[in-house]
Amino acid sequence: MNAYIGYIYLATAAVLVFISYIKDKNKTRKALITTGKVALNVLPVLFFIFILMGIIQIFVTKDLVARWLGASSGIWGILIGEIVGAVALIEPAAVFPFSGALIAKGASYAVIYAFASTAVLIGMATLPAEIAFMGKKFTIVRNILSFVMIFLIALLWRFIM
Amino acid sequence: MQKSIQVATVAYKAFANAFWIIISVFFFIGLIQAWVTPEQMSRYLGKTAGWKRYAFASTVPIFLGGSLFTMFPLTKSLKEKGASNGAILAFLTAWSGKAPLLPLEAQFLGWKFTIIRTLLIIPTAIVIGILGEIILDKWEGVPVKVDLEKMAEDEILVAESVVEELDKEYNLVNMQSKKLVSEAKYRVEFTILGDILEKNIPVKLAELASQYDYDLVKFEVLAPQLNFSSDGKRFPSKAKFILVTKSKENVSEHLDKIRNLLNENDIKIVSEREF
Repeated sequence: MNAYIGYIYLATAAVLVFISYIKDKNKTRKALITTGKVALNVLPVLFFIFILMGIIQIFVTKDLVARWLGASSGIWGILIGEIVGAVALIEPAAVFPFSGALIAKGASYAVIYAFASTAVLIGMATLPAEIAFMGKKFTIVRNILSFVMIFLIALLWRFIM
Repeated sequence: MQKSIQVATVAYKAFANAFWIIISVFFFIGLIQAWVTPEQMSRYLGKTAGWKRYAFASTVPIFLGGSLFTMFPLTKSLKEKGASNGAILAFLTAWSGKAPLLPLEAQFLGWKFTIIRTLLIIPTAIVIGILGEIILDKWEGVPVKVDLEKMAEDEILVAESVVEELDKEYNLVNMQSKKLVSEAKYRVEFTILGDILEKNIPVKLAELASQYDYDLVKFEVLAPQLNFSSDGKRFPSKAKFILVTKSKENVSEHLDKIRNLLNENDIKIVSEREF
């Protein structure tokens, strides 16, 4: 099943590109250029992420992950997840494979939710740009509120999954 | 050595399993960015109001691609066009939904997690929007609603003090400029026509004057540009000022510089009168 699902997506993508091409050639050209650019940007990152996955799989023990990021890690695990997500310079597309490796080693969904959410919403790297465009107050309010909200929702994940 | 081979095996297997999903996700991202531009979104956000705006800002951006870096210029222009802080906060938060990446997320974290996380984005965006707006409005300060009578009263008080202040300043400047004019060896009165205030001509002229040894006095804008013609174009305004200098040296050079500056800004010189 898992082996086929990739082909299903690929077929869907092909059909969509075909429809797009019929409707508007110019936009489709743009879309394919974007696809190429994203691929060039993301694939090298993914290469390292998959190596990292391998390293986690082989070298990191389940006990270690469970203790720091497992269900019993409580609020500290969530905070670690959030802070790592906020600080790490990570492509959104790379967040999920990395998270998957941690889940396989016993990290809780709450921690992974916290990590994945802050990884896309809060970025130390994007702070200067955000301040420049939106102002200091907006930036502070948005980042702190996001951090707090993600923390509170992460606490609820224990009851969800 | 054996361990590193194991690492490579795990990495390769995970990559091989996800390879076609990753490739299709790249196509989804490309297609969405080409067909649904953030600008279209923002145009729509600008048109809606009230709860509809929140409903829109907390859901539709989920389907957008792009990175945070590309979102900030967009949200800035949204803010300048009058979108509330709340709507912008909801917009940015909902954008973290990352719908084009869902297949990838499901592959590694399972559909249950993926769907719940995506659905949770909506209430999160609304709450962050509403709370953030309350905090920001208090912090940044929005125009406070006051009853009209009190406002009128305040305005009269403010207006009186401003007039007094201006009177003092004007008299002072007036006396100084009269003195400058009477002491000057050389004076030219310029009358100019064009978008004088829009192009900040008074300041530009003052900057020019401050570099050299002459003064520009009695700058008056004769017809402030408050009128709009029917086709939306503004009427040009007229202004007068006097160039005064204590020595006749380099006068032609100064005049040329002023003429150049006015020329560059498309301001017409109506008259130049020496007296």
